[in-house]
Amino acid sequence: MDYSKFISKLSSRRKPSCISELRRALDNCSPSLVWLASGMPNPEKFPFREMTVTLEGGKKLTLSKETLSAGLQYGPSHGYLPFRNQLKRMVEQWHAPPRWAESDLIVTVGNQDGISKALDMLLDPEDFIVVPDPCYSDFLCMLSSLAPQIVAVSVDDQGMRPDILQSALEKAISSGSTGIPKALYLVPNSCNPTGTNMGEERRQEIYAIAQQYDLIILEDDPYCFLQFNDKYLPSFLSMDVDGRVLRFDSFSKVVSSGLRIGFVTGPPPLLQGITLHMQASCICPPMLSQVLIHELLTSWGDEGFKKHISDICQFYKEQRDAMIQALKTHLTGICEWIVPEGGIFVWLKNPHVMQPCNPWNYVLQHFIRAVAAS
Amino acid sequence: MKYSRFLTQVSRNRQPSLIREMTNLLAQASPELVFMAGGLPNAQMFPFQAGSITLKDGRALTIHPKLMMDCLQYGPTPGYPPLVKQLKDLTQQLHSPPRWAEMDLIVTAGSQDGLCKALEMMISPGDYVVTQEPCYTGTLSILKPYKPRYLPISGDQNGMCPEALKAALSKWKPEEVQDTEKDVPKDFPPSFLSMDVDCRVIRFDSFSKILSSGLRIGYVTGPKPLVERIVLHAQVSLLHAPAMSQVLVSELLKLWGDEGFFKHTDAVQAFYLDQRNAMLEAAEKHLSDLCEWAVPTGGMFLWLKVPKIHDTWDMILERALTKNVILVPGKAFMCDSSKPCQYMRAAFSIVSPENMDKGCKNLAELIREEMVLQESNASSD
Repeated sequence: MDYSKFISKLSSRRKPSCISELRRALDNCSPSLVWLASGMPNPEKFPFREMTVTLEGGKKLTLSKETLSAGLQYGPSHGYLPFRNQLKRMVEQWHAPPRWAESDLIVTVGNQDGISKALDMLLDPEDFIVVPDPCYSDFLCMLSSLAPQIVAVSVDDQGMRPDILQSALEKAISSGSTGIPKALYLVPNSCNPTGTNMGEERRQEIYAIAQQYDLIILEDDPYCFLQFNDKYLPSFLSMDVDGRVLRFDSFSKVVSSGLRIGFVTGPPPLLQGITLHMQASCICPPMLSQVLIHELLTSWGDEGFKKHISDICQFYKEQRDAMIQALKTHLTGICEWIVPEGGIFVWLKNPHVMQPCNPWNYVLQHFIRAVAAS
Repeated sequence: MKYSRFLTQVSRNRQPSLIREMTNLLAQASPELVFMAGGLPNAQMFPFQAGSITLKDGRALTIHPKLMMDCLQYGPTPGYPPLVKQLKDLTQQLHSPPRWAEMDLIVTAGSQDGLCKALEMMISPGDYVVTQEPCYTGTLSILKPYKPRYLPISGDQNGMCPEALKAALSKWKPEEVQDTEKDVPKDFPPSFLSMDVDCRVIRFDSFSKILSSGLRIGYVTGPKPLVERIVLHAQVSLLHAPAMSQVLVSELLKLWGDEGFFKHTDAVQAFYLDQRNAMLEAAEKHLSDLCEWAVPTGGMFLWLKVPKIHDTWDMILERALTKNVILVPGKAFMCDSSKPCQYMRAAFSIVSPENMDKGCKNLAELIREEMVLQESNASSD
């Protein structure tokens, strides 16, 4: 695939830093090389010496001197190497991407930062981006600042409707805009906010349309492990024969949200645009966070990870059941809802209320009043 | 001051994330409030329960389960509240900004992320940017995609020359020139923040050189309307600086108190002073007839000029490896990368005194060979 047409004008002007070019010299250098290049602070003056964390169940993980050292120093912009390798093995195992040899993976400061930088990389203001309607509100916030052309596609109980998607794209193309439809964003599992899962056949239909119109698919999948019925639907990455999927994974719902660790898998030319922006901004994802998760996953092994996911699903399933019970008790006849098969959200419809003015202002005012009164 | 003229259209377009704003309000709400707005994962299911960090002085920071929850859960975008308070107190103590009441502070994922968001807030393609020259490569990386029109200001040992700055800006008419003098009884030179009577300074602080670079913790202080734009950008991108990192820094500062903190920074200063002295000794021994330099009064870099070499770029990128020494060619720090540059930057932060000697010796050989090469290229032209 030719990726150059997808890159925004701004992103196309990003260049690797001179220092990162110099670092290549470290790959095959002699042990006598005297490195005076990067402004790395001396870790001898970092005040932390040892770190131990206690896991659920009481097991203790002590970071070795080298590992803690790695956690406290600048690292590579695309992620701590042992951690990246671990994640690559997991992605290959879970998704068996058809073009795995031509794919790569980078660690980001939370999955949302990866998405934000992907949008910066892809969109010029005249370009089109396809979103489901309704859509994750923070994603709409990102778009509101970039102000591209938005193609909003209505959803049903499986997510984006292919027929509406097709006609919306036709309309966009014949609109006379100088921009092109570049990307399609979706949350295929336990969609935020509707809680719906997109079935396998629907995914194939959407992929086919993306092929037809040559779109990049932004697969935002933070709830993939929070599925209650042990049914894992094939990801867009697993059906990506063209190399057009950027997949955004998150540890926020299964390990920790505060550590700010996510990862992106996809074609190297697209990951490069995100990495260069990271180089210029946060320099690298938080090293201590990466080190901790790497140590945790190593300590668990595949079995331990599966067990943890199973425990989480059981927990959130009980939460869902309790929520549905409360809804039935108090809101039957007032609201409608679909029972979610995963995730953490229920999408409620109140068919009786007509929207007065700006619904967000209305809700926020009531919320603020409730907080102020308490 | 009116700030709207400094903002790009993209920055002006930013709206608060409703979910983030609601989550921020949670901090003030009554325990009776049933909060079902933010998609917060249940922290009970996070696998880390507690932790302990031993410091180099033997003392320990304990992360008990409640504190571990703060490390692992989503937090407010401006920063972990105890740390924000500590940093505000520290800033007020060190700088006494004249317009402190109109300023705000945000914790960022390293100071460079703050810098990146501040520049992205203000720069549109083709805008004029005033920088000192040479300029930190990280800043140039941020600016490059915007194809700015640089106004590079030459400097001397004290940095940017005011006359050069005035000359560069002379094509525009200022309404008035502000001359401020402030008597600040401090051991280090007064910051721009400390003399900011107009509220026109955005200050970027970092813990990377004194506590840890890998934790990714820095902070930005500046006028409320501008910090707010950075907060809004952070809200929809990284959400907030890594929480465990913020908690660790906060607990450490709490354990140390002011006295412990300044004792540590004094120790860091003394260490880098020794490193600098060792570097100067090595440079004087091997490079005094080949290079010129000013003695750095802080930091970790030696800025070397090689008057007999036309451009250090190829010498370093193509030939330095064979001499087992690498430093950064000066061109990387120049706004106009098409011009030759005779400078190089050597970092003396991590290298041992023994290796400094070896490195400078190797560098001397490299330069001498380059001079011969330059000579033969010139005569064959």
